[in-house]
Amino acid sequence: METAEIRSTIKDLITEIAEDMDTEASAITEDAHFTEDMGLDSMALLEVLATMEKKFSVSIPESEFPNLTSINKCAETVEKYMAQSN
Amino acid sequence: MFDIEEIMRNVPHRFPFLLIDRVLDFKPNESVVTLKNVSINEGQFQGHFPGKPILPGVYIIENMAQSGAFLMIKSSDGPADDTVYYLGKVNKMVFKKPVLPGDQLKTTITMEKQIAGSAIVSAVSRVDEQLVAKGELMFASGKG
Repeated sequence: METAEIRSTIKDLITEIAEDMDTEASAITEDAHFTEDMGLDSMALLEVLATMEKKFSVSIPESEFPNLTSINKCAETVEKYMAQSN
Repeated sequence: MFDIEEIMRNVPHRFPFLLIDRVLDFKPNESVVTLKNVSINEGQFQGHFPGKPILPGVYIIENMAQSGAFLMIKSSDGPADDTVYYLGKVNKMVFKKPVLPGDQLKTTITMEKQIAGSAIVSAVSRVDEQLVAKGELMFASGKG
Protein backbone atom coordinates (compact mmCIF):
# COMPACT_ATOMS: atom_id res chain seq x y z
CA MET A 1 0.00 0.00 0.00
CA GLU A 2 1.33 3.44 -1.00
CA THR A 3 2.05 6.11 1.62
CA ALA A 4 -0.51 8.45 0.02
CA GLU A 5 -3.18 5.76 0.18
CA ILE A 6 -2.43 5.03 3.84
CA ARG A 7 -2.61 8.73 4.61
CA SER A 8 -5.93 9.23 2.85
CA THR A 9 -7.45 6.13 4.50
CA ILE A 10 -6.40 7.50 7.91
CA LYS A 11 -7.78 10.93 7.04
CA ASP A 12 -11.16 9.41 6.17
CA LEU A 13 -11.16 7.52 9.46
CA ILE A 14 -10.22 10.62 11.47
CA THR A 15 -12.92 12.65 9.69
CA GLU A 16 -15.50 10.06 10.72
CA ILE A 17 -14.35 9.94 14.36
CA ALA A 18 -14.01 13.73 14.53
CA GLU A 19 -17.69 14.04 13.60
CA ASP A 20 -18.51 12.62 17.03
CA MET A 21 -16.51 15.41 18.63
CA ASP A 22 -18.17 18.32 16.85
CA THR A 23 -14.83 19.19 15.23
CA GLU A 24 -14.92 21.72 12.37
CA ALA A 25 -14.04 20.04 9.06
CA SER A 26 -11.46 22.79 8.45
CA ALA A 27 -9.56 21.71 11.59
CA ILE A 28 -8.83 18.29 10.09
CA THR A 29 -5.47 18.52 8.35
CA GLU A 30 -2.62 16.07 8.08
CA ASP A 31 -0.50 17.97 10.58
CA ALA A 32 -3.23 19.04 13.01
CA HIS A 33 -2.76 17.74 16.55
CA PHE A 34 -5.53 15.29 17.50
CA THR A 35 -6.16 16.61 21.00
CA GLU A 36 -4.95 20.24 20.83
CA ASP A 37 -6.30 21.17 17.37
CA MET A 38 -9.10 18.69 16.79
CA GLY A 39 -10.39 18.11 20.31
CA LEU A 40 -10.22 14.30 20.25
CA ASP A 41 -10.37 12.65 23.70
CA SER A 42 -8.62 9.52 24.94
CA MET A 43 -11.51 7.26 23.94
CA ALA A 44 -11.50 8.66 20.39
CA LEU A 45 -7.73 8.07 20.23
CA LEU A 46 -8.22 4.46 21.27
CA GLU A 47 -10.82 4.10 18.51
CA VAL A 48 -8.31 5.55 16.03
CA LEU A 49 -5.70 2.99 17.08
CA ALA A 50 -8.10 0.02 17.06
CA THR A 51 -9.59 0.96 13.68
CA MET A 52 -6.16 1.43 12.07
CA GLU A 53 -5.09 -1.98 13.32
CA LYS A 54 -8.16 -3.55 11.73
CA LYS A 55 -8.03 -1.58 8.47
CA PHE A 56 -4.35 -2.20 7.81
CA SER A 57 -4.15 -5.67 9.46
CA VAL A 58 -1.27 -4.52 11.59
CA SER A 59 -0.48 -4.77 15.27
CA ILE A 60 0.65 -1.51 16.88
CA PRO A 61 2.09 -1.84 20.40
CA GLU A 62 0.64 0.16 23.27
CA SER A 63 3.97 1.99 23.64
CA GLU A 64 3.26 3.82 20.34
CA PHE A 65 -0.02 5.23 21.68
CA PRO A 66 1.47 8.56 22.87
CA ASN A 67 3.06 9.09 19.43
CA LEU A 68 -0.21 8.90 17.51
CA THR A 69 -0.87 12.64 17.58
CA SER A 70 -1.66 13.54 13.95
CA ILE A 71 -2.66 11.96 10.65
CA ASN A 72 0.96 12.14 9.46
CA LYS A 73 2.30 10.54 12.65
CA CYS A 74 -0.30 7.77 12.39
CA ALA A 75 0.67 7.09 8.77
CA GLU A 76 4.36 6.88 9.72
CA THR A 77 3.57 4.46 12.54
CA VAL A 78 1.33 2.27 10.39
CA GLU A 79 4.00 2.11 7.68
CA LYS A 80 6.67 1.19 10.22
CA TYR A 81 4.69 -1.79 11.53
CA MET A 82 3.45 -2.85 8.09
CA ALA A 83 7.08 -3.02 6.94
CA GLN A 84 7.98 -5.13 9.98
CA SER A 85 5.22 -7.64 9.37
CA ASN A 86 6.15 -8.16 5.69
CA MET B 1 -19.39 -18.21 39.30
CA PHE B 2 -20.12 -14.84 41.00
CA ASP B 3 -23.37 -14.11 42.77
CA ILE B 4 -25.29 -10.85 43.15
CA GLU B 5 -23.34 -9.89 46.26
CA GLU B 6 -20.04 -10.05 44.40
CA ILE B 7 -21.61 -8.10 41.51
CA MET B 8 -22.73 -5.37 43.94
CA ARG B 9 -19.28 -5.25 45.49
CA ASN B 10 -17.90 -4.34 42.06
CA VAL B 11 -20.41 -2.25 40.13
CA PRO B 12 -22.09 0.85 41.60
CA HIS B 13 -25.53 0.26 40.01
CA ARG B 14 -28.51 -0.33 42.30
CA PHE B 15 -32.30 -0.82 42.23
CA PRO B 16 -34.07 -0.17 39.95
CA PHE B 17 -31.18 -0.08 37.56
CA LEU B 18 -28.93 -3.01 38.33
CA LEU B 19 -29.38 -5.11 35.21
CA ILE B 20 -27.22 -8.16 35.84
CA ASP B 21 -28.11 -10.96 38.29
CA ARG B 22 -25.20 -13.39 38.05
CA VAL B 23 -21.79 -13.85 36.47
CA LEU B 24 -21.45 -17.23 34.75
CA ASP B 25 -17.87 -16.93 33.52
CA PHE B 26 -15.04 -14.47 34.01
CA LYS B 27 -11.56 -14.23 32.54
CA PRO B 28 -9.69 -11.17 33.87
CA ASN B 29 -9.09 -8.50 31.21
CA GLU B 30 -10.50 -10.84 28.55
CA SER B 31 -14.17 -11.68 28.86
CA VAL B 32 -17.22 -12.05 31.06
CA VAL B 33 -20.55 -13.87 30.64
CA THR B 34 -23.49 -12.50 32.65
CA LEU B 35 -27.07 -13.54 33.25
CA LYS B 36 -30.15 -11.38 33.71
CA ASN B 37 -33.53 -12.85 34.57
CA VAL B 38 -36.22 -10.74 32.96
CA SER B 39 -39.36 -10.45 35.11
CA ILE B 40 -42.79 -8.93 34.53
CA ASN B 41 -42.37 -7.26 37.96
CA GLU B 42 -39.82 -4.82 36.51
CA GLY B 43 -41.19 -1.29 36.25
CA GLN B 44 -40.35 -0.63 32.60
CA PHE B 45 -42.98 -3.13 31.45
CA GLN B 46 -45.75 -0.88 32.77
CA GLY B 47 -45.10 1.47 29.90
CA HIS B 48 -43.11 -0.59 27.38
CA PHE B 49 -45.70 -1.51 26.30
CA PRO B 50 -49.06 -1.70 28.08
CA GLY B 51 -50.44 -5.16 27.30
CA LYS B 52 -47.33 -6.06 25.30
CA PRO B 53 -44.26 -6.25 27.55
CA ILE B 54 -40.95 -6.05 25.65
CA LEU B 55 -37.57 -5.32 27.26
CA PRO B 56 -36.47 -1.95 25.80
CA GLY B 57 -33.39 -2.16 23.59
CA VAL B 58 -31.64 0.48 25.70
CA TYR B 59 -31.96 -1.87 28.69
CA ILE B 60 -30.08 -4.51 26.72
CA ILE B 61 -27.37 -1.93 25.97
CA GLU B 62 -27.29 -1.02 29.67
CA ASN B 63 -27.05 -4.73 30.58
CA MET B 64 -24.05 -4.95 28.21
CA ALA B 65 -22.51 -1.79 29.68
CA GLN B 66 -22.87 -3.07 33.26
CA SER B 67 -21.36 -6.41 32.23
CA GLY B 68 -18.44 -4.49 30.67
CA ALA B 69 -18.08 -2.41 33.83
CA PHE B 70 -17.92 -5.61 35.90
CA LEU B 71 -15.22 -7.01 33.60
CA MET B 72 -13.07 -3.89 33.94
CA ILE B 73 -13.60 -3.28 37.65
CA LYS B 74 -13.20 -6.90 38.74
CA SER B 75 -10.10 -7.24 36.53
CA SER B 76 -8.54 -4.30 38.33
CA ASP B 77 -9.11 -5.89 41.77
CA GLY B 78 -12.36 -4.19 42.65
CA PRO B 79 -13.67 -0.65 42.63
CA ALA B 80 -11.32 2.28 43.11
CA ASP B 81 -12.94 4.97 45.25
CA ASP B 82 -12.90 7.73 42.69
CA THR B 83 -12.88 5.98 39.28
CA VAL B 84 -16.11 5.91 37.29
CA TYR B 85 -16.55 4.19 33.93
CA TYR B 86 -18.73 6.07 31.48
CA LEU B 87 -20.35 4.59 28.42
CA GLY B 88 -18.87 6.71 25.63
CA LYS B 89 -20.00 5.24 22.36
CA VAL B 90 -22.18 2.47 20.97
CA ASN B 91 -21.27 1.11 17.54
CA LYS B 92 -23.04 -1.24 15.18
CA MET B 93 -25.76 -2.26 17.65
CA VAL B 94 -28.42 -4.51 16.21
CA PHE B 95 -31.48 -6.02 17.89
CA LYS B 96 -32.58 -9.28 16.32
CA LYS B 97 -35.37 -10.56 18.53
CA PRO B 98 -37.62 -9.11 21.27
CA VAL B 99 -36.68 -10.01 24.86
CA LEU B 100 -39.73 -10.87 26.98
CA PRO B 101 -40.60 -11.46 30.65
CA GLY B 102 -39.43 -14.98 31.56
CA ASP B 103 -36.41 -14.80 29.28
CA GLN B 104 -32.88 -15.28 30.58
CA LEU B 105 -30.60 -12.79 28.92
CA LYS B 106 -27.07 -14.14 28.60
CA THR B 107 -24.50 -11.52 27.62
CA THR B 108 -20.91 -12.14 26.59
CA ILE B 109 -18.48 -9.23 26.69
CA THR B 110 -15.07 -9.57 25.05
CA MET B 111 -12.34 -7.01 25.59
CA GLU B 112 -11.06 -5.82 22.21
CA LYS B 113 -8.68 -3.06 23.25
CA GLN B 114 -7.90 -1.27 26.49
CA ILE B 115 -5.44 1.56 26.98
CA ALA B 116 -5.10 4.21 29.65
CA GLY B 117 -8.57 3.95 31.16
CA SER B 118 -10.42 3.69 27.85
CA ALA B 119 -11.75 0.44 26.46
CA ILE B 120 -13.50 -1.06 23.45
CA VAL B 121 -15.52 -4.24 23.98
CA SER B 122 -17.68 -6.40 21.76
CA ALA B 123 -21.02 -7.50 23.20
CA VAL B 124 -23.34 -10.34 22.26
CA SER B 125 -26.63 -11.10 24.04
CA ARG B 126 -28.53 -14.35 23.64
CA VAL B 127 -31.74 -15.91 24.94
CA ASP B 128 -31.90 -19.72 24.72
CA GLU B 129 -28.69 -19.60 22.66
CA GLN B 130 -30.43 -17.43 20.07
CA LEU B 131 -28.90 -14.07 19.20
CA VAL B 132 -31.01 -11.14 20.42
CA ALA B 133 -28.54 -8.24 20.19
CA LYS B 134 -24.93 -7.51 19.36
CA GLY B 135 -22.68 -4.51 18.99
CA GLU B 136 -19.59 -2.71 20.20
CA LEU B 137 -19.32 -0.44 23.25
CA MET B 138 -16.66 2.05 24.22
CA PHE B 139 -15.90 3.24 27.72
CA ALA B 140 -13.98 6.17 29.10
CA SER B 141 -13.00 6.42 32.73
CA GLY B 142 -12.90 9.50 34.85
CA LYS B 143 -12.55 10.62 38.41
CA GLY B 144 -16.06 10.77 39.77
